[in-house]
Amino acid sequence: MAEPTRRKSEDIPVLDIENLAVAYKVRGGEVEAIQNVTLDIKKGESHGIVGESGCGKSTCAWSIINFLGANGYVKRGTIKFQGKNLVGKKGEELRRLRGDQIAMVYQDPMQSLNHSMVLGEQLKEVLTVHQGMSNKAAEKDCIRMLEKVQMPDAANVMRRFPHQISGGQQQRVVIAMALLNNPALLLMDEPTTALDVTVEAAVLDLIADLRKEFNTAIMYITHDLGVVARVSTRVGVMYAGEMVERATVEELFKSPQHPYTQGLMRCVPKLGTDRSSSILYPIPGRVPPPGGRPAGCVFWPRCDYVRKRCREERPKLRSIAGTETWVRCHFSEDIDMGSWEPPEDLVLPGTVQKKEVDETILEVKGLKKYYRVRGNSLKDVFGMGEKQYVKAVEHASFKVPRGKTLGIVGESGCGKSTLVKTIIGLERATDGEARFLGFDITNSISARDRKLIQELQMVFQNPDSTMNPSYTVGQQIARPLKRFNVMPKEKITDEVLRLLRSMRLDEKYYDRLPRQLSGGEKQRVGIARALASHPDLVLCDEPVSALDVSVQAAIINLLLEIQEEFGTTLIFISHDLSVTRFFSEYVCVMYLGQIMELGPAEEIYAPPYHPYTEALLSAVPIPDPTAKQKRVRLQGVVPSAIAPPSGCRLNTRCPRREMLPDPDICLTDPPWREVHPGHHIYCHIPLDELRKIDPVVSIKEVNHAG
Amino acid sequence: MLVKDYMSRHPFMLEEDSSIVDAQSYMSEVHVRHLPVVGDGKRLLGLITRETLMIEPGSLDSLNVWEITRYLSGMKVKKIMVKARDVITVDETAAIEDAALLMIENKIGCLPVLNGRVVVGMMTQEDLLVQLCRLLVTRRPGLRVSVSMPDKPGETKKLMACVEKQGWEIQSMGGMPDLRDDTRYSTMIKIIADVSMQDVEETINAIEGQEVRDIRETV
Repeated sequence: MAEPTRRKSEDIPVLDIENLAVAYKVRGGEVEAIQNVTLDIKKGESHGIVGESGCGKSTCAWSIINFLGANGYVKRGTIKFQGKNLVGKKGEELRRLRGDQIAMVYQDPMQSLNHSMVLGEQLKEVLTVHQGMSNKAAEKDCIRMLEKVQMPDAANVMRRFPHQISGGQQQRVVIAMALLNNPALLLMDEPTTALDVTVEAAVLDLIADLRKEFNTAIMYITHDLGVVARVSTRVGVMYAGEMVERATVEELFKSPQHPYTQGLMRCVPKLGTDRSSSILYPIPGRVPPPGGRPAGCVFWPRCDYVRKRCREERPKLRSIAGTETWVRCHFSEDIDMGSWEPPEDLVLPGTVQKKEVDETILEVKGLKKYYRVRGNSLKDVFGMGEKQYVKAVEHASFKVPRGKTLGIVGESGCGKSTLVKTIIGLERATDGEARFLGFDITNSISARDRKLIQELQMVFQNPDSTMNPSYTVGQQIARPLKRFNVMPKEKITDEVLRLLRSMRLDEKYYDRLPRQLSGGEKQRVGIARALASHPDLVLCDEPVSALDVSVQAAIINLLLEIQEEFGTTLIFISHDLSVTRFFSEYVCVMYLGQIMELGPAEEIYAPPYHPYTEALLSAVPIPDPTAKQKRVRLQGVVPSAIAPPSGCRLNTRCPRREMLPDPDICLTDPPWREVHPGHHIYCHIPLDELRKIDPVVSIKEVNHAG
Repeated sequence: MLVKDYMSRHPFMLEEDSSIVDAQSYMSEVHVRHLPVVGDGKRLLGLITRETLMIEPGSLDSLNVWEITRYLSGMKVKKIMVKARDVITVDETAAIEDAALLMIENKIGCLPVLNGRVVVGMMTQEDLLVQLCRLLVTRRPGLRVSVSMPDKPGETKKLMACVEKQGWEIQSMGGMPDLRDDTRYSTMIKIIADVSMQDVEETINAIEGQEVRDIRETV
């Protein structure tokens, strides 16, 4: 007998959006930011919304709580919350709804918390103001809720200020705050994007548990396909303000119907697949702005299957027979993803085997970087206190062969950026050796030879803040050429144009200002500028983290191609382990200033793992809901780098510590265990024990690339 | 088995300033018969049911259709709702049988579930029936056996010992006093066993004082 639970009233979705169009009034008319969005979320369901930036994901969420600003309004369609239409609701009723039944969690927890109030007061306010609860009862409820979101030492956290807890904990507080009123609908706008993978994994686990416990309907907005695969039951894909596909999460990843969804799948690297088969195929072009959307299908300018009908007629969202999938494409039945061929003009890197060279271009031995910090006591003020140091990098030793890529991964605060900054000379090394092409580079950059500076260049994470907004693109790229006297003055313009062309930017970009470029284009200019002086070593500090997946794929391919062409050596910092796997020959895993594991990429991603590498890998969101991933979570928070744990710095959080007969041995410095020549693990646990650990990820091989 | 585990969470709710015309259409749209009326922080202010929406014709000033329309369209939920102090409610930590008793004693069809004064859910007769089904319904095919036994301690133990000895798996069970004979007790068990109905019947009948009243297959 079937479960007797289906009742009519249960079928009413908590949120039911139909044909929604939101428009913003701007100078000279109005633009429709989103059009024809239809979706419904039932009780206890988690509905993911994915898409690149500028596709209208957040606008969709904001329209629900009428948070569109003074110039935005719902132009067409209905938004029904628990059967009641919200469009046009104003004032008191809407305020009550937002407070009591709909809650929202934003991307940056720091911006949702009041810095001048202790967390307890902020949490209690929700209950005392809305529910008229007494202060005491509210305090009790808040502590209970903090415990539900797995906050360690909840009662104490109530007395702290937001800056006194870590980012992951802040986001937990925000989630706890959102759940205090037991909302029927929770809107989450990229709640984990600003967090580290390990923290993100814990928060995602938490969201899944809470959804079951509170039976809350969740709308989960993200740009990360891996996150969607982990948290959602159904997914909607948005492109240029339209919902182009809706399906259950299994269906979407098994057989994506819309060409855009397929394109997205092809441009995210997957952990687990081996490097040679995981070539990334960027989607050509970019998302059209709301005012400049093409007639017909919004995706046709970037679609590989475009036909005449696509240009003329806008497709309707229609259901695919026999499935729960809805798609906005005329020809989705005719499109077979398996037989997709990359367009001919696409240059694919990595197909040529790199030449084996033994020359070591950079050698770092026992490099240390300490920052002096001043204490707060009176003694410290007079300079008589004990000297304290933030030990940002401790005993870093590695070699980088010419023409290869070293990936550095780790959580934020592990010293990745400091290490790179020390190498390039922005920071002075405290101790240790670093030799680049045989030259010592531990001294300050001003003492370096100009030739040396020329050979060492850097690509930064945020292209916005590293470009002078009042210089044109041409001037920015020409500057290093002039500074280093790379070539005679009259040839500089030609060289800049050549560089631009190799970045796939044409001549008209020469006179543009940074603000006229998109994020991906700016990053290309940043790369062009770093390459202008023909450096031997380029240090890339998270060059793709701030970019959309399709752009990310293009930039990664571009870097690989350049590496092939110029034989440039790269050091690539990333917190994204799938990207690093795809990109690097060698990987270095760092934790709290210490290198934990170092070796060729293939070996890092397979057992034997360092326990920390294992935890990192198990936290990576994989864009495949069928992938089996072990759940290894690090407990607690990253200890302070001023007083790091003695011995192995991971010992306070190590998930594998009990494998040792005497766990106290971890308080002493572990040995460097050599797995193979070139692959080292910094751990007390014997290699034979580590080898017994199963692989973290197992993926059924589905090759979307055809 | 507490109310909070089996109530309908996030129930449909009304505001006290909604018009009764809206309340009526909302009720039929979302297919419910009871709507709690809440204020700030989902605090219970009252309850609207199908009965409260039946306006007595005697309460109208005139039977002129226009007058009636004007009268009804201006009427707010707060005027006709059952006020919070008269609403029978249940705490979320109560046992479901206590909730059922409350409904039977007061002859009501629903109970707003409260945590303090905040509405956290609704428990209706239908919810209880669903739970009854869940309690007794099985997910896999098997045999449904009604056994009559003397109403004294140790009888269920005997039956269990017999079931265990045979290696049958019990999927669900429930029991209540026999309504016609107050010296006996009826127990219903659902078992999964690879035996015929006749064998089961004989095995149980062999227990002293116990008797199979009904046996059938369930799917």
